[in-house]
Amino acid sequence: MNSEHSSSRTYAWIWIYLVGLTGIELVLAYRHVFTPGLMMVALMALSVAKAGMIMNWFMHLGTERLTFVLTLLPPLILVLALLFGFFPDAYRLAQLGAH
Amino acid sequence: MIATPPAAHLWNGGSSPYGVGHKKLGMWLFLVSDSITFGALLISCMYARVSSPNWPTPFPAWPSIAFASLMTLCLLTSSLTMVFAVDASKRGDRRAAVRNILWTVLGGAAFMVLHANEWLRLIAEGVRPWSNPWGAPLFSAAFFTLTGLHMVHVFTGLIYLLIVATGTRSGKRTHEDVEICGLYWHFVDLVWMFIFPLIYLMSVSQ
Repeated sequence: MNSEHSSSRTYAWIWIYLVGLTGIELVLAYRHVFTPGLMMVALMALSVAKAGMIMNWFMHLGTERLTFVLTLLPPLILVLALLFGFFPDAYRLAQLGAH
Repeated sequence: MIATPPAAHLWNGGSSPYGVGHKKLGMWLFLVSDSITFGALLISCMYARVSSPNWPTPFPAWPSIAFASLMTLCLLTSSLTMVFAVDASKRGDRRAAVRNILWTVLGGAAFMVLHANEWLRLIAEGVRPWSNPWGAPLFSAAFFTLTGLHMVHVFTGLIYLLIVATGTRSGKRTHEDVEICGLYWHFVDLVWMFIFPLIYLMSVSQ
C-alpha cells in the first residue's frame, strides 16, 4: 500500500515537471526570448528532456535490462542524428535564394 | 549439455537476453521505427523552414497557441492516468485499471476534438496542404502531414485503449497487455512533445 502511494506520488511529480517544462517553452516562444535558430535549439533541448522523463518513468525504460535499452536507443539516436546531415544543404538553398 | 555462451554474464544468459516478452519487444521495435518516421518528418519540416525565406509564423497566442497548449495538457494528463492504469493492473486491481484507461480515453478524445476544431478553423481561413495565405506552401504541407499523422496515431490509440479496457474488464487481457498499450499511448504523448514546439511554438506570430 505504501509503495503504491509513493509511486503514484512520483508519477504526479513527473506530470508536474512535464507541465512546468511545457510552461517554460510557452513563455520562451510567446516572449520571443531567442532568435529563431537559438529558439529551435532551446525548445528541442527541453523536448528531449521531456521525452527522457516520459521514457524513464512513464514507459519504465529505466527498469528494463541494460541490454534491451542499448539495443533500442543507440541505433535510433544515430539514425536521427544522421538526418541532421541535410542541414548544410538547407543553408545552401537559403543562401542561393532558390525559392 | 548446452555450453554457456561467452559473455553470458553481461546479459544474464538464458534464452531471453532482454528479459521481456515477445509482445513487449514487438511494441518497442514498432515504436523505434515509428520514432524514425516522425523524426524524419520533423527534421524535413526544419529543413524546409531553414531553406524557405518566406516561412510563415501565423499562430497568434489566441486561439491557436492557447488551444494547442490545452491539447498538450490533455495528452500529458492522459499519460498520467495511463501510468496509473498500468500500476493498478500490476497490483491486480482490474476495476481501477479499467477506470483509469477510460479516463485516458477521455483525455485522448478531448485532444482529438480540440485538434479537429483547430483544423476546421485553419481550413476555413483558406489553409490547404498545398497552399496557405501566409507564405511558403511547405508550411501547411508540413503542418497537415505532421499533425495528421499524429492524429491517426491518437485515433488508433483510442480504439486500442477501448479494446484493452474491454478485455481487462472481462479478464481476457493480462497486465502485460495493459502495459504494452500504455507504451503506445505514452509514445503518442512523447511525439506531441516534439510536434507542439516545432509546429506551434516556432510559429508564434510576432
